Amino acid sequence: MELAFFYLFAAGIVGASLLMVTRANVIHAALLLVLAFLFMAGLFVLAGAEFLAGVQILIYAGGIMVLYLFSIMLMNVGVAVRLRQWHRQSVLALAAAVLLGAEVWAVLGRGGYPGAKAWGWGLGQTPGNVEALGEVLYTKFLFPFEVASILLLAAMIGAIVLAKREITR
Amino acid sequence: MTIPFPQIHWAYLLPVLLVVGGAVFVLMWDAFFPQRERSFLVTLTLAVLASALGASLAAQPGSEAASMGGMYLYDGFTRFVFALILLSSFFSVLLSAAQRSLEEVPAGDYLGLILFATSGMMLMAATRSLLMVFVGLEIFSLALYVLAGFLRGQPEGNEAALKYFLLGSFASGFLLYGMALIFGATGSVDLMEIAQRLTTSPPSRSPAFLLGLGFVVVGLGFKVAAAPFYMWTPDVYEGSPTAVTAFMSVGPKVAAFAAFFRLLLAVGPRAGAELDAILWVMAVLTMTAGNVSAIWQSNIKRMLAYSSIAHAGYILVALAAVRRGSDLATGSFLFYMLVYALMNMGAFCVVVAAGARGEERTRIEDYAGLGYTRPALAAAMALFMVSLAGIPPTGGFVAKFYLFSAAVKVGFVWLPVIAVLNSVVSVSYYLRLVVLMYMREPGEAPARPGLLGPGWSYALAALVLAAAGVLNFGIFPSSFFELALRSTLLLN
Amino acid sequence: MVPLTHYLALGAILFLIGAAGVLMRRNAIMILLSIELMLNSVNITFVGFARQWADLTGQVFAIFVIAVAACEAAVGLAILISLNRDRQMMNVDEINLLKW
Repeated sequence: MELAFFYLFAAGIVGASLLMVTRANVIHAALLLVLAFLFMAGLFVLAGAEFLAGVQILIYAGGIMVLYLFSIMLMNVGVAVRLRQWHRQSVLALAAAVLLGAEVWAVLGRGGYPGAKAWGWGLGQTPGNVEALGEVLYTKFLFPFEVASILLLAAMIGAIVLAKREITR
Repeated sequence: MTIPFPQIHWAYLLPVLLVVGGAVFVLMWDAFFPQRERSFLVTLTLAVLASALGASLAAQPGSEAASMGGMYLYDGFTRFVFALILLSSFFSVLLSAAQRSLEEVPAGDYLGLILFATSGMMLMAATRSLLMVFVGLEIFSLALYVLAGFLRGQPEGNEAALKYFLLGSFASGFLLYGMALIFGATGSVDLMEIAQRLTTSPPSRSPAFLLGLGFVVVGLGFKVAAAPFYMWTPDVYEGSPTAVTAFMSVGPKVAAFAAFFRLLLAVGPRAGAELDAILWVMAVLTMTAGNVSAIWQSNIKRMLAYSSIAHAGYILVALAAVRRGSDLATGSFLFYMLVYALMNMGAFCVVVAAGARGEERTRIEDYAGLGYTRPALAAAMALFMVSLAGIPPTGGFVAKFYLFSAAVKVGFVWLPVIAVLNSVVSVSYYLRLVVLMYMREPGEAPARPGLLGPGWSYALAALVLAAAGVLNFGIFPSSFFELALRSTLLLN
Repeated sequence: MVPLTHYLALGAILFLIGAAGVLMRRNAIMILLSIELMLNSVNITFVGFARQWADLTGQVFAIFVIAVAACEAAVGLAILISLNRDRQMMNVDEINLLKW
């Protein structure tokens, strides 16, 4: 049963992202990426990452992709649809990507991973995934958690600086 | 469930806190008192950087207990690298204050972003957790993407920002995938734990681990502009404001190489000969590509970009030696970065100081006859070029000597030979500039563009500091080299 | 339980699709979206390994990846908007003032 759902979600993700990279219209592409992210949230629930599933929907699909859509609407993309979509060297690039993929495939297929360990944070168990994640985030990973605030602040300032000069001009 | 309040060792955190606090303060000050003079904010930023440098030199290297579980290591290596990073941002602030075209930009935003980038570099260098390496790298990358496109009304700057951003994020993807595979193969993102599990667990060299390491090398190789991932460097260096270019050519390299060193010191001895071959090829390709391409450049910023690629290649020689477990190589890397920071910053400072408002002297022909029109500036440029080429009695020679002899000591034969041959090639384009400055009559360009305006004192300070350092390390290198060698003690 | 190799294969396929998108598309927004796809493939890999090792480190890393993705999106889109206002263009190979 779990496996069936995995295949469903995986097919959804791969299908949506394949459609995404081939679209000419960026708005269609962004919406397809949202679809892929929703399937991914389902996958995260299967893998025992409920909190991440929520974050994926709230932050990724709900926040980041909406930011993309707003920005796309600020830009003049109507013309871009009718232009050539692919690089001249795109065949070369595809060959390189396929080569890379083949290498990853060959290496990852060779195994050498540990056997699965018992997972203490399943759905509906106590302590659940969210509680356990919160604990490590505030103990073991407290320092990077705090440092992430510098990251967010720097990115916010940077985005404002770039946008501000449009207003002041 | 109770969460204990963590034990914080403020003395070790102080340098980073000062820089971050300074960034916030500068931003706030500019927001609340926008009419104040720009020089006040510049002085404040310089004071913040100097006090952070003082704080990091004052703090004695800490213990494992103070490292927050490996997230923030304060050892001798960190201390030296902090000094390097703070020095390079100190110089870039001086250069920014001297650059005429940067006079119009909002100073608070600009200096705040420089300080944020500095804090990211420091955090990236002072950790053995791959998570912190990634977060620190992103902090300084994001700040630098914005700084690259900071000049308004300059399409080249916007293009440089976009190129840097797209390729940088692409490289981040590779770095992250590599980290994921390393985590999968070893079950940890802490370099010390990874090293332990590689020795104890049966699949000691699983293919996934090696593939992950390869991806991480690609990601870091992009940040240090190593071949074949250096294509972005000349474009981004050319398009960015010169002061930012100077910062980019030193700061991120120090931080990324420091993380690279920690990675190789931990897992290198167990990763086997595959990594040896990769580093060997990367080093040779990087220095050769940098030096050969630099010969044909007509723009001085592009030439310095290729020159910085070549220097990254020399440092990769030290990395290859570190993988074979040489402490000497770590020490000579630190010393090399110190000298490189000074001579590169000095060269960019001459580029800034030679320019006038509106137009910068970026073409190499613009420097013809500089020895007659502005002799002091030309003499400084000649000194930095000689040092970059690695000719005695400058710091560049001594640094290269230590670096290559460290490689010889661990049994490399051809690598140092190729590096020395490359240095010989590099002499041609460095000295071409010197010849141009002294042997050719000045062109039709205005003979004396006048002094630099309000920023000239900053440029003078930077030039004197860099020139004194380059000469000092060339003539009396031993005490600083000893210091660098003593700084190789790591917490793991 | 879903075997680990399934997660890894899915992650690798997505990474490949994302990388191909970055290398092949001209439109800068499409490149950005493809980079998002690459970051998500990393998250799937991390979550799969976290399940295998029963170690939440992988999930914590994935949360940080999402935070970074948000920051990158903000800065990247700001750069794009600024470029679009100046030059009215979207395609990376039209960005040719500097030698590519």
